[in-house]
Amino acid sequence: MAKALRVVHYVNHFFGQKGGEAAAGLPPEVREGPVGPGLALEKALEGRGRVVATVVCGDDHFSENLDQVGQQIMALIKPYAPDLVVAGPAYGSGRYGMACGKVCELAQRELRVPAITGMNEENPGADLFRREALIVSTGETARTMAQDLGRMVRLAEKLVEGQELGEPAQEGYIPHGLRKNRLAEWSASRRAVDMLLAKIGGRSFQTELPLPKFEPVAAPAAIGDVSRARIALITDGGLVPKGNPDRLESRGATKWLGYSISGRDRLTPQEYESVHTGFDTTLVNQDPNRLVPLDAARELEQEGEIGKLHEEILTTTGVWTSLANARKFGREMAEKLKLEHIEGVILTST
Amino acid sequence: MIARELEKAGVPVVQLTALTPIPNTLGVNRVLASAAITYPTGDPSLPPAEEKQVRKQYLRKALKALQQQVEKPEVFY
Amino acid sequence: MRLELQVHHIRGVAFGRRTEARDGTLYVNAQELEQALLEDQRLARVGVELASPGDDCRIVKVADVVEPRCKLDPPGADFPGALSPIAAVGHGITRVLRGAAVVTTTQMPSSRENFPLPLGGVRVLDMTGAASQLTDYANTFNVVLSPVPASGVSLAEYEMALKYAGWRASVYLAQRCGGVAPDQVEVFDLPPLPDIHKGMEGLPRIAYIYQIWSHQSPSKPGDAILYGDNVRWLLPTVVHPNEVIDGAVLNGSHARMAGETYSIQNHPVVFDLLRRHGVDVCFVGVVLTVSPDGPVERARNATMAATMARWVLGADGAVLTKLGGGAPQADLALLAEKCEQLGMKSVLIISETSVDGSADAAITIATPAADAIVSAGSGDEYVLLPRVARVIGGQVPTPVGGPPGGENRVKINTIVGATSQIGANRLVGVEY
Repeated sequence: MAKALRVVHYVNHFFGQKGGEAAAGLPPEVREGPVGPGLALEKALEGRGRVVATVVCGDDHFSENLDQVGQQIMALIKPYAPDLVVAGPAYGSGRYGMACGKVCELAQRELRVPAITGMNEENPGADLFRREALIVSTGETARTMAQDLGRMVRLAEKLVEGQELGEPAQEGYIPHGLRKNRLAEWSASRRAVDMLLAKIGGRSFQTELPLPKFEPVAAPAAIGDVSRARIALITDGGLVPKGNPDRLESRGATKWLGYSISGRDRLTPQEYESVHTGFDTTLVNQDPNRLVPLDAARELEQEGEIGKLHEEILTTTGVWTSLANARKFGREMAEKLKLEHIEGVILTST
Repeated sequence: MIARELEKAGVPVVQLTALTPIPNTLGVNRVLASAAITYPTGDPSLPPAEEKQVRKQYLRKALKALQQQVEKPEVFY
Repeated sequence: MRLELQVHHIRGVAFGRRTEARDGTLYVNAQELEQALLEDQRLARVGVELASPGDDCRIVKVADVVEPRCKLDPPGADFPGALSPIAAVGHGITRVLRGAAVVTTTQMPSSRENFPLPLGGVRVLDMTGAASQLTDYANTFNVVLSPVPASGVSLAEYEMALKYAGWRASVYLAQRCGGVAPDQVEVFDLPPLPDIHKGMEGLPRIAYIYQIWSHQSPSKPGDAILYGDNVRWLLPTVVHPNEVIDGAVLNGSHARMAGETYSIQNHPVVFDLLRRHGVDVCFVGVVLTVSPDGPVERARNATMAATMARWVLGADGAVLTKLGGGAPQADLALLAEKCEQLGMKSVLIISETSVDGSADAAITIATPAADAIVSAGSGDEYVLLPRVARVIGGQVPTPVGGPPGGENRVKINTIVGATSQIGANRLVGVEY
């Protein structure tokens, strides 16, 4: 590297030598040069860079006001025009981990400076910031500080030089939770047969696509009596008024819509259609009640089996939609339905 | 995902789908097997009046699921 | 069943007065080829162009890719049930022009702009630049057909004619290349099932459960998928591996996610298992199945397919692949569970489905039985297509994106051959 890197280091009150728990409420301050572990950091840089400044902040103070304090810290870092921001490492400390994650996220996004931190995989800060921040995986205690800083520096130098990083396990960082393509060395079929032989032979193998883990959700209590309840119909099958006036996406939806069904006792093919592209919509477009069963629901309402049908159908398109958007739609729909005192939902999916 | 968020917010929901393993993956608690991907609530082989009766049966099953206490993800048929 | 592939290596393509293979070059008489294809009344004329690896060239609106092949024994049994009367394939002799490909482009604006991709809603093949690194079809010497519909022909009829044109051209080219000895002969000769493990008792028995259609987009009457049948109501069925690669299994007429004919003719899973038979596996056969529309059929198909692999073929393990989009992942989840219940190990090959690159959306199933998955990469990353000098197949206006020869940023799944549900591509997804 031609010129020595200018590094700004972030540490908490403890490593910043401000004291123990009593100092956890201290606001951020900046000091010239390295402090505490900054000396080991500078050593790990082996002359290729130096710690020009250290920002120190109390863990409690930071974690209680992540965004606001984060911005204040950016303002402290900016005048030093660093080439790299290093935070922590935070090991198993949750509050410190959150702080380090936030510093890295903001340094990259707002200051456009490469940033790196380190912490234990179980640290809540890892869970919260691993998407945005480059986090070197460490143990739970600071005993391995010198080695960990060495690993962080090696990875950081790749980052500064714009080199592509290898895979998380090999580089020692916590996966961002993202996927990307690589050119494969061997064909998928060859890998599949190899994996199958390992599985049959009881040898260890590694799936290439770990299954997503979704925390269980407690089932909402059953409705006591649907004949007195307000029920809403929702679909992710891309139902829209004919001509799609609000331009619901046919795939990769970015919105959901609500359409009044007040005074209607069925969905006619003249008035409604599906714009979904994940399945053949011919049959649904012949009779949209096959997607949202309004005609049957109205009859059950009149016959007293449903208390009251909500006067709006909520709709979106559930194909190629990101999980983040789908979550957002669900949250927004729930908020709206609760305001309208809806007691139960029938969701038809394709 | 939508059903999951509704449930998180405490709104009872029954999801009709032909892909019963998928909502189960996501941890949706009340899943009802629908007729098919291309016609969740219907049966195109029947005359319209009869098809509507089939549709009412699906809805009755859905309503029943909403009235049933469940402890973990369950698929109704 | 003994299948002999007489392979001619093609290392160049050019127009010529005679259609023939000479010194490794495939010469094409374009008029004669066009005349052969115009026997189909649904077509008015057929543009024929050539594209070689490295050409500064883009082929747009790609509908299918087919390897030129013809049956020498039994003669004429080409794509039976589709092009020729029903006849058993997978045995006898097949001529293969390896290194060449027929590429068909669609020349009718589709009302089914379901997938509003740039460059005309269908796929693209760049013979040079970044995208050419992602597909094997940029390494083949391509005879590109642009069949124009006759007036009054409906889109469905045209799509069928387009499909058949690719298959017909494949047979035409291979049939004209006799007269020279093949460069290589490959033999695939598995004994009948009762004898299949003789001499390889210690090797694990492997079956392949192959989903050949997804009825989330139901096949249409006339779609040739299995010996000419549209497999609309197919129950799981056992076939010999040789049948799969010799024209019995095809890819219908209209579903973009069904893969190319070429990838079935060179089916990577079937070929790998055939080549490893007796080496480190005992390949006991193929179970064909479909992803159905309804949940009861889904359970039935998964149960029957797994039982067939376990108790009819006697497999210790099975490779599972799917077709179509996200929905058929549910079939694989069920299949994996059934395999597990029957004491049979399984590995799944899956194309990732995450639109935004997040790892938790890369797959929609989470059954613990699916603990061994091979990734065939994601089609949702972007690749920059460069400006090119020549465009083939671009006569129909493009509804989205810039001029077809210009710079274009497209999703990888736009590139024909860059994504494949059966692993006939080069990508693997990794977490980072």
